[in-house]
Amino acid sequence: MGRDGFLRLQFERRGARTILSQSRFSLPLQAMTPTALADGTAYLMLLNPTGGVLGGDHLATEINQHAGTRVCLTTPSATRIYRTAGRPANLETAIRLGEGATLEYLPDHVIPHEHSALRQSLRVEMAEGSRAIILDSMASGRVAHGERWSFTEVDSRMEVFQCGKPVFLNRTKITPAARNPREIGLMEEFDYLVCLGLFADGMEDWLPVTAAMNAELEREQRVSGGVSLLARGGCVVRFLARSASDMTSMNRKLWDAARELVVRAPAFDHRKY
Amino acid sequence: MDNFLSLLQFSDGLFPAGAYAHSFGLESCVQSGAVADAEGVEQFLRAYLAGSAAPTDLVAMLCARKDARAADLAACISMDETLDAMKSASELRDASRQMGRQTLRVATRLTSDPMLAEYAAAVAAELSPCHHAIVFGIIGAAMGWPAPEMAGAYLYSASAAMAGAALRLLPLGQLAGQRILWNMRPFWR
Repeated sequence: MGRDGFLRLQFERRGARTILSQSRFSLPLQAMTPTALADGTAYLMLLNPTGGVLGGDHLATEINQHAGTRVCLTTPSATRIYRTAGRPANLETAIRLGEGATLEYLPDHVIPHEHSALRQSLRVEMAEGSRAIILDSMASGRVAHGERWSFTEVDSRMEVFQCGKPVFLNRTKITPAARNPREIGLMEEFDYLVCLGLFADGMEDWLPVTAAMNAELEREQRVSGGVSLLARGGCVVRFLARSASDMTSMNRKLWDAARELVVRAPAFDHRKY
Repeated sequence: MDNFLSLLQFSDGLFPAGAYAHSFGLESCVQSGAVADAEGVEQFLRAYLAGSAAPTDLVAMLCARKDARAADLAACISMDETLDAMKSASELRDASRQMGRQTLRVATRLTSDPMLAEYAAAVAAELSPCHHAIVFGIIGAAMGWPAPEMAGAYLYSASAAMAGAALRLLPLGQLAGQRILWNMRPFWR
């Protein structure tokens, strides 16, 4: 048992603006009509009106950005992964950026419920001169209910390629029954895990970016994290938080700073939270 | 027997790969107080082996061994680039590259394997990042090391380097260091 859903979006450049030129989807995936930001970015919410994903569901999202397009994608709320006695929920996202395109992909975090299982993958292929801000975050469970690390498994991959070469390959696999996530070197006492990747093909000087990200992290004592420069084409911010509000607040600050330094666009009202 | 002895030499703590210069993140955990005793070191080492060394370096090492046995230099370089993209923490990436270069330098002077020489030329031309796991895999193919023994020796070597760092960073005795290694045996199989 399980539902198959898909979402296919294509963006093209029209003058200074980016337009959604194709939109195909099957429930439970949906996309709202984009809003045009002042900088020409198409700002779009990705929806799942059922509120969560069940075991056996297979939801595939494909996004194709033509050259020079500017797209910002997010979700209105967290993605809940419901309990399953059998197969895991599968979420696959593939995004292709044309030359000089810009992507901001900042979905809200994943909340794996007790006995849930999730396999998710995000693959981003960036062409020459393209830029991307990509967020991947999760909670230990329904923390407000006292539910922590009681899911069966979360297996999450993020793969970013620039001009066909891998620049960031990350896999987070957490199986609480096999290894306690609270051990040293893992999540310890934290409940929220965030990975924010900043990528720009052809950008040489990343020091101002890493300095700005580190400054944001150092200003907030309630999160613990750091920034690391990749071998080429980007840097990655990782941090741990104790509460959803601490995480969300830091995500906004990092996003705003990254928007200015990497995407070369001003911060804007996200019309959420 | 010759294979076994060369595997011992290349995975020994005395082999000048430069592992002694790195703590693989343990030092910052000791400084923050997260690791303060032998139990903490064991937890950290288990996290390192299960979360990083085994699923990334070890797999890359075995792939490089297979590709080198097939004389497929392009595949070895591709795996090297893949590992480079997997090591997002720059300190760990730099340590792995440095150990790879030092191991390669010694290996090319001790042996005359053509695949190793071709790979060394690619590294010298900056066509491959030269991660330690890739170099170890190519040497394994040249020396004819069996994959299971080679995998165990590689993880033992990584564990011994970490235990050595722990003894330098914390007030732990030699026996505590050996007990940490003894308890890691299930991870090496």
